[in-house]
Amino acid sequence: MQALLSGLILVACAPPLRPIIAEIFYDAVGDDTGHEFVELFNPHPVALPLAGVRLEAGDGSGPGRWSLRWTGTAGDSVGPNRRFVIGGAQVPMVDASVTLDLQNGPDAVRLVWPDGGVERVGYGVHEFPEYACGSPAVDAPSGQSLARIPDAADQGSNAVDFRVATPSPGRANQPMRDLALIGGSLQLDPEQPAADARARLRGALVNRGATAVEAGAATLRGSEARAGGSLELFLAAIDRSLASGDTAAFDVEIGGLAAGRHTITVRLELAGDESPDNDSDSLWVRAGPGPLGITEIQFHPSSGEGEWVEVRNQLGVPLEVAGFSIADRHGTPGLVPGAGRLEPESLAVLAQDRAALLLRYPGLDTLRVWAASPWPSLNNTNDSSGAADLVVLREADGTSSDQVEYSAAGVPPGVPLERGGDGSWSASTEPAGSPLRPPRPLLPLAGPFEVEPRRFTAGSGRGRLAWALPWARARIAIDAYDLSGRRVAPIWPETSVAGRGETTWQLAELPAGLYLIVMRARVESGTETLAHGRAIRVEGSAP
Amino acid sequence: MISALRRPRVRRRHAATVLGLPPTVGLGVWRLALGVSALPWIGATVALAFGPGVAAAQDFSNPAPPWPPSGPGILAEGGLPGRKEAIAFEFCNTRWFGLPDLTTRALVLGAGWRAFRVAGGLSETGDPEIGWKGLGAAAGIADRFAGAAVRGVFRRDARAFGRSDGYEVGLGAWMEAAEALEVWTSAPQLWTQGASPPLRRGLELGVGLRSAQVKGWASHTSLVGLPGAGHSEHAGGLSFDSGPLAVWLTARDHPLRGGIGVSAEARRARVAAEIDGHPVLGETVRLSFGVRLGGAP
Repeated sequence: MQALLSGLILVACAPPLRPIIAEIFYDAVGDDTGHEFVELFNPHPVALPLAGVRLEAGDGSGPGRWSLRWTGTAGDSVGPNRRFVIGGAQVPMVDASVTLDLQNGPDAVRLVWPDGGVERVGYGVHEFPEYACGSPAVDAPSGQSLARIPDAADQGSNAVDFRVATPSPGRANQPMRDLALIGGSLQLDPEQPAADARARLRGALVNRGATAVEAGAATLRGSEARAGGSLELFLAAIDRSLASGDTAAFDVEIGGLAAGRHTITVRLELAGDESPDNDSDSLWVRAGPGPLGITEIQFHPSSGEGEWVEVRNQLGVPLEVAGFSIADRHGTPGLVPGAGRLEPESLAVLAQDRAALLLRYPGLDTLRVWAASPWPSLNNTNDSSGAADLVVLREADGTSSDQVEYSAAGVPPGVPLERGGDGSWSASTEPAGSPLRPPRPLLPLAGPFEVEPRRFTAGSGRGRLAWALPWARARIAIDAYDLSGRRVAPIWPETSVAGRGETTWQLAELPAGLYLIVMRARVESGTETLAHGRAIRVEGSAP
Repeated sequence: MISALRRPRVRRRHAATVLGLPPTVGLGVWRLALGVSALPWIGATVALAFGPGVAAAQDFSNPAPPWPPSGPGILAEGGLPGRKEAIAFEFCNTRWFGLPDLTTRALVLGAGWRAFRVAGGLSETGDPEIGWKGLGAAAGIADRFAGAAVRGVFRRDARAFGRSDGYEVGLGAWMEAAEALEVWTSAPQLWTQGASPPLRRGLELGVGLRSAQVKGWASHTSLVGLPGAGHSEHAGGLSFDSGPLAVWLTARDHPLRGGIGVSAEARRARVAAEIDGHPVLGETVRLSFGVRLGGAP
């Protein structure tokens, strides 16, 4: 029995019947001065004195580098199940005000008791074992503390006893009852819904309390902030029980948001929740068009001009473009630096390489061409979802201004994608695109499908394919057949297009002969189909 | 086996006689021209192994079963002379895949005397922007058991650009391999010069079976000029004769499709129509009117 007790004592990091280090906050966001603190906790049922205890900071860069930060006086004590906070002047509920000047990891703090007892808490990756008990705790990121969870945990290793947490000086690290929204988990799908369209709000919550939360005990309340109050968007009960440490995701549909910016706030309501400051979160969203819209995307330039994206001021008043950012699906946002003012309905170009773009298009208004850096690398080929990439424009505060997911299928090399008058996207009707110009209006067609010219020279030549379908949107595929009816070459893979559209076609491997260029079309939502063909002649000598 | 050898011997004597040559010499000529006597069987076996098909025509495309050859159109287009000698002409009109700007009009004249067969024709296809004119000619020999011919076409684009003229010359031949079994081959574009033909045509091998009222055929055609365009083409069909009326059905692959044709003869006139369906391109319609001026009925 004595050996067992000795073993238990050996695996504990704190001396018996002493207050323990419960929380360390050493890296505030920005300047640390006045914000650092070390919280002591007395888990025992009797008050314990702090007289003579020394709080020391350890510099993990070398052995034996401990320096005194604070010493307990005769009047300092910690009541049963109470806390004692040693920290800077900015720390709320501080008991001993002192500038701790703790370093970021790998470092440590320790309590040295007058009777020789020592408790060490190390954080970060240490080279010297004297700076931690067992394995050191992780290095907490800026704005987060290292907290002992549960509050009285002492399992013989800092890495086991301490977790990254929201700073809570003077309060329990793990309340008995605490349901929290996981910060940053709120997402609207789609991120920028159309005006008055329904969308789904998703997020996650966690039971940070020591006790379980029963099913139905908590509710989620969503609201939209408005001038003079707020409008409730939804009220939903959490219909499952959550044990301590459990997380749960939620997904609720919210009604149509009017066009414009909105602040959606989600609040968790749980009777007896001991930490109300982690019960709510908010999200800035936009419904409908933003101030800056995307009108043309060059994702596969072929003449060395670099990628570029044409944008339009949709705000109705002059717009300062500085601070906007452009990003792809996964990349870091590229910022538009400097000052740039865009008149209402005016077009501008955000370029990967401004100088190269101006060299390729010498007639452009240089005052409306801006470089964005770092430039998001726009994909040229579709992934398994059928989309190549997502172009996202955001305002300076991160609110989405416009988002376009595009498909590269069927877009001839070097030809940009352009937004038509009906809002649909298709390959530009001009092979080099139309930066700083609206799309070229399409003239009426004599028939449903036209090919121009109808006579080519083998091995070279570029043609125009134009269609006018009886539907607003359709999926079309264009192939070449010979006079015997054999399909000899694909011209355009099946692509979603507007009912009226055009594209260019590079005559490639068709040998000399007579061919039928056939467009097969089907309405995008339905079963109607049609096919039209035009005969062309490819001139060339017999082999 | 003995009887199978005796019957062809009698007929070959007749073929040599028609050519005005001693019977033994005639037999030797045929064997020299078409190879040893086993060649037809090899050709038939190859054609059946590859399945059915016909090389697409483009200038003198008359509505008729691909086998057996009859009329001047198939002689001018494929170099396959008919059994019967006759002086005849045909006017053909083909509307390709329902396209109004892609129509072929052709006039073909054919003649035969004893074993000699000749044909010549004029055609015009398509509108001036993509179309062309063709002048075709063919000459060969045939009897009841075999035939062979050389054919050629001269084309000039309707817009008559500088390098628009093109020539092609090819051969065709057929023979009876056994009782009611015939094989043929046609290489209509063995030599080409100048502007490329609108449709490149490869070597065609075919086999035909016939009874008194029903005929069947199958053919295999290799592809030329289309790298990566896939496999060879195959076709087949059946025709049914009942006095002056004939009906035939055809099927082709790449893509799978079919057609139906009908012809009727009254006195010396013949009218015919054929519709070929295509799952994407629509229908090709062929019409013809012909008159036989003389020769065997």
